[in-house]
Amino acid sequence: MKVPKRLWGMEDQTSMGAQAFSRATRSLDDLLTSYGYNYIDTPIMEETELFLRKSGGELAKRMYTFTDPGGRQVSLRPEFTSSIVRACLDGLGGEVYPMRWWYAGPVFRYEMENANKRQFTQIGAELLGVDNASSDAEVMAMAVEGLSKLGVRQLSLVVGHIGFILALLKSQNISERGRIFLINNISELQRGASGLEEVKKRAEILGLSASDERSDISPKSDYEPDIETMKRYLNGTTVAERGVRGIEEIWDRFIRKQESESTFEKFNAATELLQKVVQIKGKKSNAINAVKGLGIPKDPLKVLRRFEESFEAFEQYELEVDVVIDFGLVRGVAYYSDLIFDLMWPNTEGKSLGGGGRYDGLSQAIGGPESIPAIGFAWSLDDVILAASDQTTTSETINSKANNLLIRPLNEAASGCALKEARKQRDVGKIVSFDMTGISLEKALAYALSQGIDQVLTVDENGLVIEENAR
Amino acid sequence: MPDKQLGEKTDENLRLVVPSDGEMYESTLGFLSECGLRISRGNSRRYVGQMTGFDDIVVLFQRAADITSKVEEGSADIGIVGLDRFDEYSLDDGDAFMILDNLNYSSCDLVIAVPEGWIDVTEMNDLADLAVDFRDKGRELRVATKYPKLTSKFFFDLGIYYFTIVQSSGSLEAAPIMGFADLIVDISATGTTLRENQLKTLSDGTMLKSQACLIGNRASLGVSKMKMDLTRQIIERIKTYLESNGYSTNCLLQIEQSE
Repeated sequence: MKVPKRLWGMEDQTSMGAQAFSRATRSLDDLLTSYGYNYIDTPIMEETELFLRKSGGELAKRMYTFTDPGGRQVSLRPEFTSSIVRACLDGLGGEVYPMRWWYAGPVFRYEMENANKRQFTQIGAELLGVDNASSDAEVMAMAVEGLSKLGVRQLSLVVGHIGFILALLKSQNISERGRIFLINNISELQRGASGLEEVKKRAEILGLSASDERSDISPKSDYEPDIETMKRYLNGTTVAERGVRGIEEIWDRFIRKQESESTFEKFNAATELLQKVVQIKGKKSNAINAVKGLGIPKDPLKVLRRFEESFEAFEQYELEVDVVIDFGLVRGVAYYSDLIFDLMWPNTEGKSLGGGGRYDGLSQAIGGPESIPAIGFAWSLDDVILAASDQTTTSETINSKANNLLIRPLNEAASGCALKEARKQRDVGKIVSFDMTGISLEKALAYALSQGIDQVLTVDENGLVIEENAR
Repeated sequence: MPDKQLGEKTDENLRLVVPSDGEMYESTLGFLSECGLRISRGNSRRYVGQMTGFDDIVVLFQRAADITSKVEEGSADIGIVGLDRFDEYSLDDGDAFMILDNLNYSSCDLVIAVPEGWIDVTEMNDLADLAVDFRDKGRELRVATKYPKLTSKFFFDLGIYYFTIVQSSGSLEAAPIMGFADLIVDISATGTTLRENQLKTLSDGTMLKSQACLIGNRASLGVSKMKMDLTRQIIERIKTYLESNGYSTNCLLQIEQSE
């Protein structure tokens, strides 16, 4: 009898390999903990539906899905974020925001290329309940700092913004489906003129932009009944002929479809504008100014301003990293709705060491009553270990008896000093949550109490620190 | 003829599995007999039969839906099955492989069908658009099918991601009327059943053109010269019959004999 083979992309791990693994894990864990993040372990398996609602897109076809003995459709987790949002909607964390979680463990994706692992380890963090530049900055800063602590050199933080691209397309009056199509084709558009032609051609085949010539070849009136006949027919249909959809719903879409046929010029103009935008890549101010130079309408411009603020907030962390803005950076549109980033290292051939982004719409997509703003990231541990030059971690290990602190800047001008104080405290092994909501001292003390934080430190713009005990 | 230990997993017999149910039962026996490969089955409740003139061949009868996995797991060496079932049930790195891809009978299409009243839906693009629409309204586009793997792949390849598969083995055509699915993916030979159930197909919604085909297990044929020889004889007879009737089929049998 033959011995069943080990599955592709799955590995046996022994203590030798595990050493580098656990050293890196400890260092990253400590960093996330020092930022005031709490550990959460979610089930390896969840209802398939949960993951589908989130990713819909790309991930769906790479999930390990099967029917459990009770007949339920379940999947091995392809990522953690959905589970964490589900847990929060279940009431975990007591609905006190901002909520900070970190996680570590294996995830499973059926990668088509044989070189890729199908089981790999992610370590990551989620910050829920805040939507501002400081929260964007904190998450990007942790993602970078963790790698610097492991001695990863020549790291670059590549940042893009799907929200901006979506707002831009919306301002050009492109249909939802057209927007999704264009976003899925950004890499093609980045190829230049030939890519642009290819995308226009595909859009036409897909019926997203019907050209005049095309309607000449197949004049509708010759064999298709006119609008009135269609309406009479539809009104005469029974439920059996319509399934779950109502007459009005079908009619609305039918009309919309007739009208969208005339959008050829509009669609192509938007495609050309998008192409110019997604080819812009470079240092912060250069890239943003280049985009502004294209004449961006008001709504997307607003998104762009916030994007700039996030960078300014990030710069206050004073981390040594090469920041690149790439307007062509996109990932499955399904759930990232805003800022996204990748941690790139030159020697991994285009594969990132991790990445993240903002996903404000996810809680609602999962079925929550309201949308909870959220941003998170994950490191892909297997790749991180390859890049880590410094295999002996020197970082201060967190002392379990360490004080938990909440550090709040007294005002906006004080945030730089407050971040420095936070860094100082973390470096001596303290756990520091940073207040990014600008709440009053009283509220901060109440929040601290609910989170088991011992002291609230208020920092003013001169770096003066005032301590208050929370309990 | 005295009964051997029929169906037993042995290197002495070549095990051929054929459908025991549905339209393919009759047509497969008919087809093989046209090729000069006559199958005898004691009675219709027996699941093992013989092939006249081939003492070393054991014929197994199995549900059409199970044939691919029987060959895949090696409990049969070769089998006759619809291409639709083979594509749905074979593993992407498994041992089952295609030997003759077109036996020219049991032709049918695997199609997507939607309620006739959906005048706004005529092609797959409309479905892609509708899936996004449904999602915006907090609904899920539900697809009833016996072919979850092929359906998902087809939809994904067209960029349709927001849908759920409702697995069902009963008569799917009623699903939209009964309300447990919005559309169906099923096989259709003539389209009559679909029309009777007020369903229509889409202009580019044919997922697969299917017909009967001959499949085999790479591993079990590869280790036995006897099985390989018998398989070659069967292929020869089938090809001769098909060619004499003006049909062509591709023979994809290439196995390295390990001895």
